[in-house]
Amino acid sequence: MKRTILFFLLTLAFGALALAQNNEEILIKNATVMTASHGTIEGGAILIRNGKIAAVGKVADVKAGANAKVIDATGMYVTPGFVDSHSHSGLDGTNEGTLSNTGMVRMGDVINPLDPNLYQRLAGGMTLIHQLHGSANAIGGQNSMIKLKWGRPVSEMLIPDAPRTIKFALGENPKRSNGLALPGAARRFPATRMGVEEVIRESFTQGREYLAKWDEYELAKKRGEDPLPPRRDLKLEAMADILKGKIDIHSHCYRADEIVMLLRLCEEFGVKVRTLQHTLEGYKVAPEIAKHGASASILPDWWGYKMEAYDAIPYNAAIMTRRGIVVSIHSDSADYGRRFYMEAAKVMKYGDLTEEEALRLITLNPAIQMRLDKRLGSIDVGKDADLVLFNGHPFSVYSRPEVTMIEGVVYFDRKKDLENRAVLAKEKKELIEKERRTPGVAQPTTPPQPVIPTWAEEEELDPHGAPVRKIRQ
Amino acid sequence: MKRNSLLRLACAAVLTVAAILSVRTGSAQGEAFAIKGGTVVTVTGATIQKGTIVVRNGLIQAVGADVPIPGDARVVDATGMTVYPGLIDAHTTYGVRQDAAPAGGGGGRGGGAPGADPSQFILAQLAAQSAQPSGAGLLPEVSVVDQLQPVTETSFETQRAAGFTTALTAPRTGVFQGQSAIINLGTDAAEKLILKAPVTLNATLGSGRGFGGSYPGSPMGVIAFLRQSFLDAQHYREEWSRYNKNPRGMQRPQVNKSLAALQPVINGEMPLVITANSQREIERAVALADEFKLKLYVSGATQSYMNADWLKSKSVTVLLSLSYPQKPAGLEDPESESLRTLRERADAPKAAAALQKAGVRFAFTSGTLARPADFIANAARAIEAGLPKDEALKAMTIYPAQIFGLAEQLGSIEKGKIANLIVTSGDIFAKDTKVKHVFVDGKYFEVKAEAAPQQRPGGFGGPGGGRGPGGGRPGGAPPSAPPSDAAVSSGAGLAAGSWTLTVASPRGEMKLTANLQQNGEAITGELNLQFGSAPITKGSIKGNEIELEYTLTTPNGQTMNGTLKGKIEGASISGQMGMMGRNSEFTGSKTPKE
Repeated sequence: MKRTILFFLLTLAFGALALAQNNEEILIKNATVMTASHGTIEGGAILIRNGKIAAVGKVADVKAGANAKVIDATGMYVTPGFVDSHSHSGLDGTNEGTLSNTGMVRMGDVINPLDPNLYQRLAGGMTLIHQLHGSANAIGGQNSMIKLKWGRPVSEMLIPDAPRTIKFALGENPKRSNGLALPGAARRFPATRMGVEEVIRESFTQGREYLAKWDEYELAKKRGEDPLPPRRDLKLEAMADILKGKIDIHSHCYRADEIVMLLRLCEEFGVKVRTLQHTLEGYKVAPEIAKHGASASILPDWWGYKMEAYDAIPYNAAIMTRRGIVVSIHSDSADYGRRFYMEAAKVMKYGDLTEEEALRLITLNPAIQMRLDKRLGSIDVGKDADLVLFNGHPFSVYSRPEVTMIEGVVYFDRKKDLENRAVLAKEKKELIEKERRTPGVAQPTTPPQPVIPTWAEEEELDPHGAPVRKIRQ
Repeated sequence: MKRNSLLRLACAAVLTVAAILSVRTGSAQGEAFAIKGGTVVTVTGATIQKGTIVVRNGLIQAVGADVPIPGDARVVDATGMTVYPGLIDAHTTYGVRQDAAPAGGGGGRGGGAPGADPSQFILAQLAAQSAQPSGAGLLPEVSVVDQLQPVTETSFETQRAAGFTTALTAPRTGVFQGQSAIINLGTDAAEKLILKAPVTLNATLGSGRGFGGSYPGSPMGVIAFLRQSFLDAQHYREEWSRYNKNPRGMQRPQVNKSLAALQPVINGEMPLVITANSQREIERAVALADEFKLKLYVSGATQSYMNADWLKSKSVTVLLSLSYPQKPAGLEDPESESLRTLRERADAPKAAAALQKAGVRFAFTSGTLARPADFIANAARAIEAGLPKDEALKAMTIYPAQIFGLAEQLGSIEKGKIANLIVTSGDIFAKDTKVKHVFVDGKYFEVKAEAAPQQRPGGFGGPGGGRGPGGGRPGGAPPSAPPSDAAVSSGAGLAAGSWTLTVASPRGEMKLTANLQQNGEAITGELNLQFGSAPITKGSIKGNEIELEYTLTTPNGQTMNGTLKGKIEGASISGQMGMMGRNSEFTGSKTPKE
């Protein structure tokens, strides 16, 4: 374990060193290109120009300029960079769990570009994550989407003009069945599934009233009056933007009954659920989900870890896909996020999805759910050159990513990473030695001042609802 | 609001009266001193060799090489020594009551701020439904002026011994911590020490109020809360400006003291100080200030060496902490630390030079340093890392004076400025230099050798420690005693008895008692916390090292397990207490038998 940690720590600064120019042409040739949109091309080539895919096809059909940098990928497989539609990595917080509706908080405010897990994911071929608020409350915070441009500032990681999304949560987490109530702490409403529904209905209703207030204001202005603008309320503004279709709902859910509840509730308010997250019992109500137009993001083979997860089946992805639902696989885990392609491979076993259908679950389909499919998610001309070069078939347990690039820039190169480890180890040794030589006197400090005195860290639920105590570094 | 402004008025009145008195009477206030023969580092002008400074009525009456010494002046011979302006610490909590918790539920400053017992506060918090948010920690109208404790002769003794005569002091806790003041570190009544209040509004981007508290309880919640507050303040401004322009026929807007207190901040008149140390926290603070066009001072700014040029482009002022990250005590395997951590520790002293080079306006603060004396030693490390020496001196004298709008009164040795002066045995940044004499508001303080700061046991401030009264005796607790005979063997019932422990929990100090019985190496008994009692389920002592496990039962019948590990030295104990997956330092002592 210690060695593993060391390994990743040593690679931390690596991304910055690996940056290449993205203005040049890059030609990847002699690869098996798995496009995720139009089949697999044996003996294929991809031409990258200005970070975009300029051409893709058989080697003979792809022509590069004389100055193009050529990567000979003989024996290698190329896939689109993997997209995780449900992650909590690279954030300094997970839940604002104090209220049942915290639609005003934004995960984009607390991105941590130095989370080593971002680099671990990159080393596993991932290039984009959807950073979700946790599932502690019925309506959580607004989410963010970042590309894993390791070593670059947050401003460069964020997708420009990314679609806005918000986290909802149903079932045991928001009603706090599994949470550890603290001494003397009163339970927060809601405590039942009916209560969760009520929180959402009430929030939508408040959003409607808020919209009406602003409409009235705009009308008065049109009449030539000079009214005082209504107070801007960031929570209600988020509710209003949901009602107007400007913010997509990504809702944590497990059970069939609550899935149907949410779909109906949203329909009542003229809102579409964009993506159901986890969706363990989605297979039971696939026609209803398809009819609503929602997509589903799932954990392929997790079940039984809590009461509401008992009815999960590994055929879920296949059944929903066959019903016409856009299905994706998500990690919701720092661990699974770094070997994401194995998750897709599982679904070929259960339910006989084709190789390309399985690949789409971790590339094009999550991109569709995040409304980024026009930009990325498959190897097509005009899309971002977010690519992974595998040393073998990506669904084989014996394969591993050798190179991961984002917009034509290499952010992970296994060979360079291995070479660089000695350099970093040397630097570390020198720093330790330097400190040893100048020990200094320990300077007492006062502990960081608390906001209020209490024993408890903020409560966090692990992705699947079990309470954990997360100690921040 | 009313109480607040009344107090302000009272303070202003006191200041005015004090000024008049000092001119008229010249008794205690009129005492005159002449500091002669020393090297006078004026900071703003040329350094004077063998200069004389005449101090009268709390002000510098004259300074120069050929200044006559008035007949009534007490002469301080500074031959061979160096005279500097008194040092200014740009962000502290000096003089603030230790127990000054943020105003309690029900809103309003005064609603529980003075004398609030933290444990009572917890109970109140826990009892409160999270759906009924209290204002604790969220009130920008809170002022440090209302939290200052009575000043005694020994208040600020440690600070003066380290060369400090002035500090920005601010409330300790909160998302909005409240409004700060500049105080002189003398021995007058607190009201007389105030040079300026309010100076800044202070805020933090920490993780909020935690579970059991109400919104905001997370880093993103804190930012959302601050954003909404500034939006509300803007709306309040709009509402009142419309009403004031044309009150006839318009419904009167409601007065809100929090939003009123934010007005000077959103109008860019009062700086907002945000404590932020990591690069990304600094970026968040700047983004927030940009969004609302606020005048931002970043306090802490440990990692500002990473983005100094960018801070310059954003016109940010930095109150740079000289509390550098340190190697954790008792680190067994140095390899277990990440390269990044090691780099951050090695690079921290470079921040000042980076800021200076980039042209960022900055001043030094002692940050979380418990011993003011470490301030100078750490400034010397910044000089080693490339900061010009004169800039280092300015960053603790004239720069903070300019930053806080007090350059006419403070920060240099000039005629007419407040007589805050220090006389040192030599160059202030040299290793063996000692502060010999200190003047605060023209009042003379001799620095006794005993006042030299001592190592505090356990590292963290004990009760009353560090920044409060009794600064000359840090920690309030006895300094770490050599192991007494009793500490050598545990057989004698070393642990038995009643102990009072103070735990530096992540969210504040907590007191508890431990009643222990000892039988050989076995320990039994119970811990009493304010919100429940905890029988010891397993306990042992080996040598002087004690290890306990306990189960806490809370008022609502829940149970949870915890640990306590400590070392007993005589009648003192210190160590770590573990609960809910986190360890907190504690210190304590045995209650004498009656």
